[in-house]
Amino acid sequence: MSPPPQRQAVIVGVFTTIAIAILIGGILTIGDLNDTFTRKVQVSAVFDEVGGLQRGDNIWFSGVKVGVVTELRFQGDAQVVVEMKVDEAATEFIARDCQARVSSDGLIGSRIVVLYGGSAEAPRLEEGDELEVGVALSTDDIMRVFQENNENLLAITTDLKGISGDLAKGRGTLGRLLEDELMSTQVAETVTSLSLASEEARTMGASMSSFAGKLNREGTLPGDLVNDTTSYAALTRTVTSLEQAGARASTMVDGLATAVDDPLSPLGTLLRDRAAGADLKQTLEQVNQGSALLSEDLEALQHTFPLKGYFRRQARKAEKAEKAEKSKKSDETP
Amino acid sequence: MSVLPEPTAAPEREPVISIRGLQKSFGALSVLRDVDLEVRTEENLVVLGRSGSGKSVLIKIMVGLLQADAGEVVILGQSLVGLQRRPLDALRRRIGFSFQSSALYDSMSVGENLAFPLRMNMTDLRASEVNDRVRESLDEVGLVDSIGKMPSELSGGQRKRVGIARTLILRPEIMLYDEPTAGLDPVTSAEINELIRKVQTDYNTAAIIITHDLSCARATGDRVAMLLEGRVYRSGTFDEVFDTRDPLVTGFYDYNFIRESTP
Amino acid sequence: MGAHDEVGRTVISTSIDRLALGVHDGAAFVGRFFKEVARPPYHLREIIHQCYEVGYRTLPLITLTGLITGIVFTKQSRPSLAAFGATSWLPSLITIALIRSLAPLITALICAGKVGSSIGAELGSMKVTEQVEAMEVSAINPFKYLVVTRTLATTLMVPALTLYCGVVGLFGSFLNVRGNEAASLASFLKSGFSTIGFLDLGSSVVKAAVYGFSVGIIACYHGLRATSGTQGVGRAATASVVMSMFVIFVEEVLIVQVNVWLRGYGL
Repeated sequence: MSPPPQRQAVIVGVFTTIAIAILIGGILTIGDLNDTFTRKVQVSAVFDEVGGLQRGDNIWFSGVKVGVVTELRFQGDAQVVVEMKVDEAATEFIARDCQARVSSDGLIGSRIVVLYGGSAEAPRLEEGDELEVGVALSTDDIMRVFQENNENLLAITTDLKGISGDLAKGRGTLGRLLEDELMSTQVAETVTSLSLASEEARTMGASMSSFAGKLNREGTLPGDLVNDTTSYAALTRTVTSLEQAGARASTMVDGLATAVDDPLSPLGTLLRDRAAGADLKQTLEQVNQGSALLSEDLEALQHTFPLKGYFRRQARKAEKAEKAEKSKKSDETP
Repeated sequence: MSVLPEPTAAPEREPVISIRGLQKSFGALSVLRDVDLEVRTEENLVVLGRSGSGKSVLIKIMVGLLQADAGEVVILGQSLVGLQRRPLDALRRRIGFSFQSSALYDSMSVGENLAFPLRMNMTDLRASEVNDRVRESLDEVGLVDSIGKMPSELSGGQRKRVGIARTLILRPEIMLYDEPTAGLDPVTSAEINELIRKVQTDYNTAAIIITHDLSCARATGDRVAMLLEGRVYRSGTFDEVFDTRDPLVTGFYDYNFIRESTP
Repeated sequence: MGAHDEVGRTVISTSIDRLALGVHDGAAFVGRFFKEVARPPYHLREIIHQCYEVGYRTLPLITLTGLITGIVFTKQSRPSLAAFGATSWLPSLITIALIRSLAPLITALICAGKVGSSIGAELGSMKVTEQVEAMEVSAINPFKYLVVTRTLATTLMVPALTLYCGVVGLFGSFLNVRGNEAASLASFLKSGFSTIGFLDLGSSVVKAAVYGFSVGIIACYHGLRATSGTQGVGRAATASVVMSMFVIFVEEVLIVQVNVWLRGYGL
């Protein structure tokens, strides 16, 4: 019936050995995948908010898994200290001044901590380092930066408007203006910063549209916003006009700079001309308007994500106001 | 081996088993009320009784399978009352117990059945020695040829004999037989009776034979004790016990015993 | 035994008395196991024989069940995950389910059915044909020879079978995933094992050992309590299976709680 004892012992022996081998294989596999057997350095970062990060979530560096989150705990004013273990082998490539931010590894994937940046000259990551926390590229953040930038632009153009207004009204000659060393430097500086600001606005506009493109999915709030073609078109138009104005301003600035350098150049003469002054004023006016419009657009965008259609109304109102202003301006300008 | 003094040829030999005032009941049912018994060296005592008279209970108490409620049981000079597992096991090795159902381990062959108690109790024995003793025991009961058979392949009489051989393998000083002829035909019964006598002479054992079979009692017993209502009603040689007009005894006798078949 | 039998009077009510006595007897039985397991003789040969019976003889059944479970469970889980476009999570899901719960549970239940009933019937028939008493009068401790060896065998072999079941189940799952997603075995295992930790694997093995112990000891308990002939043997076998399964589920609940508690301590 059953085989002799010796054979049974052998079978049981083999059976048990295989079982133990499976167990050891399992332990090694888990250990390997959880990097239990590799040397690690412990680092931490303090976040204001971790967006559902959990113990055991992965750490990515340049898209490669380099460690895991080992602990989360509160600290001080509701901040969250995230303790991380990073493979020692990877620290060779990670600078101490790199930044950490919370991201996700897919549409419904789990949360991850992304390490990025860091300068080549900085020392390498070491045990106990506290990482700087980078700005997460969320919708809110994009909007906030955009808005700040826009406000700068507005302030600059207001300055320029004042100057060009003076020019146009013939208060003081260009010569006097230009003779005033301080004044001319001021003009030059203002114009340069305008140029920079408009450049920045264009970059922001580009990144904004790519961001919007990424979210081009139906059924989500950002999706609704983006699919609201009217408001999206309005936003794009505003950004474009701002870009154009910026480019124009840039040309003007170049001219101005030359004029400032050489008051006897043809441009210098041009500036003395009232018509030229008016032209400059118009350009700046345009910039100003564009940025004011953009400011409004963004305001609406930020506060009306859930209210589809609000933006459209807002856009119409703005258009009316623009027309009214234009007619007012045409009254003013001779 | 024996802790007792040398057996003498005198009729008043030393008792190897002595039971006094033994009582045992199961719930409300009182089985043994007051049993006194004595078995002397190399003596076969037959305990006769009707079914349910507590005969089996008596010998199960003697090997510690059941606990007595009251009374004294002294076997080979050792009292069973309050005996710990270790000395009890030591005592059990000196007692052979033949079960009514033979109780062969049916997952083992005949040879393994015999070798099993030997291997378990004498771990220092070599395999060849075990084999020799298995053959010796089987030879005693005349079943050497069946060494490789499984218990299920044996007849009732053969099973009984293998059961007896298994108890002999530890060379007991006392044999306890529980209904050795129960369920066997008369010819096989006679063979078993012969075997019991043979064991007595070959191994110099004292024995208690529990039975309700009078031919068995007559063939195997040096003395007979009749158990009735939880007490030893009559005892003595077979003829002494049955030489009476007591209806309780003759009734048992008439019903059970076939006078013509006895030698 | 006990006061109830001797006095023949109920203390609370017949059924509650019986339950309490059962618990008491069971606890005493388990206590005796631990008292006797460390003492010689160890009956190594019998332990190996029982390991052979419990482990090797149950292997085909476990293989079949494990494989089918792996395939079917994967098949059934696919639509739910596909709704999220997350079929890539199948290996993780199956691995977690198999290692944490299914493999030990399936193995234990099959062993309760196959091994539990056979031990219950074997010891039951030994009991009613006086074989247990025959051992006892041969100065062999039947508890050591029968109960300790069998319980040790189930305690050791159920974890081993669980590991087999897990491997076979994962293989079954892989077959299904391979058929649908054409994933390689390496990436399947990598994705599956990355979501489980040592606690999962360890608790799975410990759990299986506890189940194995329960199956063995319960079957022995019921087997040795068998009375009144052939009927008693059948009753012992049935009682072994029913009781083992019940106890396994109770233990599952308790062990899961312990696991959750351990996880809270960062293990």
